[in-house]
Amino acid sequence: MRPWVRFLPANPVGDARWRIRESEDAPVAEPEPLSRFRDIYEANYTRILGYALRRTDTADDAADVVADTFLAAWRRIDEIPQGEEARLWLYGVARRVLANHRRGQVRKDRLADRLRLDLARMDFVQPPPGFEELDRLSAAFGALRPKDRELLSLTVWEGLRIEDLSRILGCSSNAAKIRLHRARRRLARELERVGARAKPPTAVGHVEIGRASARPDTEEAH
Amino acid sequence: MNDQDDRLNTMVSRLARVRDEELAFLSVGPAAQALFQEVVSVQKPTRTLAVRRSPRRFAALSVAAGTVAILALGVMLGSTLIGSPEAAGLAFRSEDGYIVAEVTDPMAATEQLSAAFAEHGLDIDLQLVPVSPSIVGTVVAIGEEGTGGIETLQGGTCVTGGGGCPIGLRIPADYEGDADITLGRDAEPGEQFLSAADGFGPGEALHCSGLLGATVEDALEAIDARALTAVWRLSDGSDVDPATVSDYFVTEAIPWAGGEVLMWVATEPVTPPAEYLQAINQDC
Repeated sequence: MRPWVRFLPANPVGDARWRIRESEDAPVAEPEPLSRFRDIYEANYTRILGYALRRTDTADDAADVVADTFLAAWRRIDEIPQGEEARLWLYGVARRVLANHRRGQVRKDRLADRLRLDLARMDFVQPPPGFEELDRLSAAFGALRPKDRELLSLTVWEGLRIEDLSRILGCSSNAAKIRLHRARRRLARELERVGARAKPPTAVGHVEIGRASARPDTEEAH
Repeated sequence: MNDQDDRLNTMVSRLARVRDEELAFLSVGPAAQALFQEVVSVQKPTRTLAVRRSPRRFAALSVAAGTVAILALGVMLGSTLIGSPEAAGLAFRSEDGYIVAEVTDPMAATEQLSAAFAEHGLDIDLQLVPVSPSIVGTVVAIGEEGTGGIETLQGGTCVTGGGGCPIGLRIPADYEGDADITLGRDAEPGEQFLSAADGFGPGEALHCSGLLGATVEDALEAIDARALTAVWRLSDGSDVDPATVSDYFVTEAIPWAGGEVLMWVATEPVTPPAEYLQAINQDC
């Protein structure tokens, strides 16, 4: 089973949203593509980061997926749909980037270095006691076909609706609904097989992610 | 959604290692800012864009292949055409218990290509990625679940890090697996290649240039004459001003985007094997 993650020391950051501009009242207006990309980036950064972290084994890998996804978005800024659709478009790109990553095609470059440093504060740890059930869940989930896993993940982890799935997967809503139904059925079957019935959760809840006290050796200078 | 679905959703949610809300504090962090700045600074090859050094990096899965794979349908004796190749962007034929698929239109929509496989009962998803000229229309990567079984159809003249030059797929007729296939397509102007053949190989920007092993000084002149743009890189991965290393030697060239190449240089020239030299110098 993949290790769980919790955060180690976080560098103090201000509450205000960060801005790239040197000052808020900068007199020069940004070119449209840049301001649009900024809006998309700010609105979706943690979503794509979360998407990557939930599907990769290391923070390093997640950093690469995030960097490549936004790089692709910047290069194809004219293709990104408006509004909420942009989020789905980004998930679609992240999905392809991740697939390439799993084929060993993702670069290890300096583009994601800073993010890598930030994520280095995250500590991949084994879950606390009482995780036997979660282990079985994980085994059942891991036994599914990747496409089934992704359908269920996008639905539950990213909170996507059927119509969202259909856009990302490039199929009709009806097809997405049927695929999701089948994926759930196969998961239930796997759960039966590993002895973890689909019953309400017991005492084991979602893994808490803590921001533990600072660990000097991983703290970075600013 | 019924109760059973709810319960399954709850279980799946417990498998998520992290929730987006828990990452909020990172969204205001310096890493987010730095990544933004680096990404928007990328328009042409710059030192921040140290894409994979070479196709050799992913040799295990990469099966990048040669020239546009519109070859040879007609010359395949004993084969039987099936399907409607033009419409699908793929040509299928049946051969010795295999379904052989070749790309006829590397710019076809991926949905169309996947649908073409589905018509033949194959659960294969296609994606197209921008690649250097000599591997357009070829198989860049194969991802399979389970025991595998998909083979490549070799041919073409491209020189790739993955070895070989596969121009199509050989899929067992009874294949029941689930595969993702990546094919190369033409890059848009300025679009970065996601996979590339050897820059000195047939069909690439520096084919027959004789620059492998040349000094940086000579290479600068030749690259300029070919109206190419180059990024110069040392073997440690750092970029370098070519004027400061004019007596270094060219060790490798990676196509980066149309008209753009990544030149690797070192203090000593490399001595490549004869087969490699023969492959890159075809038709020179």
